Amino acid sequence: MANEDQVVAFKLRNEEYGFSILNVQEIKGLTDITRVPFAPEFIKGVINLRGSVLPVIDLKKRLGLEDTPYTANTRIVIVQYDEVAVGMLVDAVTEVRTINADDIDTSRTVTGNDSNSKFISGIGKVDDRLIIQLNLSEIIGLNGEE
Amino acid sequence: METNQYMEMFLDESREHLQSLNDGLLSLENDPEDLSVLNEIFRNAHTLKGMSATMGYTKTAELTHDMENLLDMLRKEQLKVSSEIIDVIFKCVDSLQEMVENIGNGESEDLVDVSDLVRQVNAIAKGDAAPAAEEAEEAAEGENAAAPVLELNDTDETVIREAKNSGLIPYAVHVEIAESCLLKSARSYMVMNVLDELGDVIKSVPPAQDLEQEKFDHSFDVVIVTDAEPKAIEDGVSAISEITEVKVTEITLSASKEETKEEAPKAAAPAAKKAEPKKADAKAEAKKPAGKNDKKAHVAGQSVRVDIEKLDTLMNLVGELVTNKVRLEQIGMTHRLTELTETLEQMDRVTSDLQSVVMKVRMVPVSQVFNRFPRMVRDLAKELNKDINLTIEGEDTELDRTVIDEIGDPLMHLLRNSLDHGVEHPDDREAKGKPRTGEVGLIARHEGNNVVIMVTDDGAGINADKIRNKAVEKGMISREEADALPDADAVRLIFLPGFSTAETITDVSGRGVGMDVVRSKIESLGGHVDVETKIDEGSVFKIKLPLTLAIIQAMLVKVQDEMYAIPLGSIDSTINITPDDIKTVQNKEVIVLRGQIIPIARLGEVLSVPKGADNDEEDIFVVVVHVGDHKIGIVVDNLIGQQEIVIKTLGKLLSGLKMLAGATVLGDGHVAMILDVSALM
Repeated sequence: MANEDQVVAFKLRNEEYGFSILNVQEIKGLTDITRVPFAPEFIKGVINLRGSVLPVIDLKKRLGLEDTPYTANTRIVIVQYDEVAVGMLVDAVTEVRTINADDIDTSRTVTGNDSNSKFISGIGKVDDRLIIQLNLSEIIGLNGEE
Repeated sequence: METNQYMEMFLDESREHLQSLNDGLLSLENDPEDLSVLNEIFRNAHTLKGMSATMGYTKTAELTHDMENLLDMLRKEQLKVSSEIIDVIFKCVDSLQEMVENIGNGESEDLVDVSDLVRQVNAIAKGDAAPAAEEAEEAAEGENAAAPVLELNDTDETVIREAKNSGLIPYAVHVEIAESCLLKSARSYMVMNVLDELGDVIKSVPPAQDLEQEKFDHSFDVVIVTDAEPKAIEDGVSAISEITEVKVTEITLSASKEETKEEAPKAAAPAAKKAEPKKADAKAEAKKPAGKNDKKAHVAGQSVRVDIEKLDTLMNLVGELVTNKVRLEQIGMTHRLTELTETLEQMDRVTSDLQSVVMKVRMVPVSQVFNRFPRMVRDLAKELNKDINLTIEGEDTELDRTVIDEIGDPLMHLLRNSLDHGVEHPDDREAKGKPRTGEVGLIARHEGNNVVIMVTDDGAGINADKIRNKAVEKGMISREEADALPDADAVRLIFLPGFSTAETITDVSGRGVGMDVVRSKIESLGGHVDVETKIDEGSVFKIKLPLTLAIIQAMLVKVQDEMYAIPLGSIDSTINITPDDIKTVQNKEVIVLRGQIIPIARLGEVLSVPKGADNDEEDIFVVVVHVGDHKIGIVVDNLIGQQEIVIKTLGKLLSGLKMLAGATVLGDGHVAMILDVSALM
């Protein structure tokens, strides 16, 4: 048990990604996103979550992936990290998976070395699928890189 | 002890009374002759004594008791109000405050050593009027000897004072019923009825229940406020049979207690002279809970302490409720369910009321923070041997509670600075041709979507050259940089960490931690602090705080499909123009409004709103806004209307975006950005 981690797996284009379930607060259907002028490009806008205004990060843009149109499967995954709640715009949420820690490859050779590699904390292997584990603190970008 | 459940109440009320004591003492110091203030102070002390004794805090009770003795002597003019006595009483209040806080922190009240203070208090009491002291003590203690005298407690006095302000006259009515009367209660009831018709009965002695149950001899007293002639009262009451005597006397308030007694001589038992009408009052108050509440609101609003987080949750839930209601409305519309729509209209009213109440709950007037400053300024001025007059303005300005809790310290710092470094010594002031008394102001007001709090003084001002030299000396900037700085910017160097200009370091301020701490605190609240100064004319420290979560009136405007809110406070006017009205000056678009040239900004372009269908409409809507003296016209596609909105922060991730003051959730659940108009200038 100790070596297992549950992840919320979701799709961006045709790749599968995951956040640790401990960071995921809830999953919401697509609602109106209000554009925020002058916001960093990867921030799609803000939404109203039960009276709180929450920023929504366009994950594809953040990871340098090409944009896709909204579909009926588009979801906003609300994650909580370091007291900050943020919505993540994803193409579809697939499932909650248990991944054995041994099955997660965190070596640099796997995560790559380009500018986007800092967003990836490892790659989990489940059956014959690969679930890319994301580094929330880098994605939210509170470390002052902007 | 079963006192725990009363603890919070005790602490809250003690704090309230201590605050009133502080306020009262301050006004007494300004006007030592004012007996009504003295009475108010005495009553506060007395209540405090009673409360702490009930709660079993004997030390607190003892100290209050000694203080009360002293006050009583002042009240009875056995002692003259002097600044030494006031100082000692202030010290007592301080110690009491400390004790109460200790109790609040679960510590023992004994931690505060008051033996010296007690000795001092008693010395004054004994030394100046030894025999009187005992009498005073007796008087304070002799509560149980209370006879039903027509005395006025503070509740009554408040009511009377208010009545007087609205042009009514208070009368004491003494009524005697024939000894032979069998149905005294019925007669008294008739009397009360007559009086009720003539005016408002404030109290009766004995209280109404006792009258009803015939628990009185053959006379009773009533206090009434009315616009009727005393003759009319007398006639009205005498007309009732078996009433033998009616005596109507006007009540004058200044020394109401003494005079009322004289005016109602029959009721005044000899023992009453020095007795507190505790018993009678208690009953009278119990009978009139409404009156009691009035008084509370008057002195210091009664309060319940609630965790801020709970309020946040409540507010968010209400928001969700509204969103769901809107959804229901849509369902009702699409399916044409009239019944549902009608019910929802009702619900709409309830929810919007609910929403506004919840929002307002979080707002607190700045007076909560400002309250403590008069006392601090007084003490500090004494310590520094300076003559200072503190003026407070706009204490009703409301701010979010979280902000209120945080601004106390920075304001304290600024005030201390003004007193210590700003205002000069009286002699120096005189030499400069200024009045000896320095003016220090603490002013709060709304300015656009901010609350501005200013600390002003008419002191020496800040010498920019001195600041430059100091900054260079401390290696903060180079000589060249310093010389290149305009004066206004040079003065702002005081906000840098590690800066202190006082030539001698006093323990009041000037340890080099002051201003940068102020600045970082204010900035952590999303605010901004600035300073303006003129040599020998004084300085103004201006704190600009955002109304996080504050409710403001805003104009909703539309640009393409995006909705924005412009705070109404900064809007001058909205006008309707045609494209021909727009002229250019040096390639910048302007309009001429009532002879004034106003630059315009097209909101769509400024905010790079994605272009939708071009609308070649003839009409152009311009919202003219102002910041200070500057005006600018904001060109928008459509004006939606005026609405009360709640400002929400955009959170850490989106903090510091220019042009945006926050966001708000509209009634239909959509989010709209709030424009920071000052950034457009």
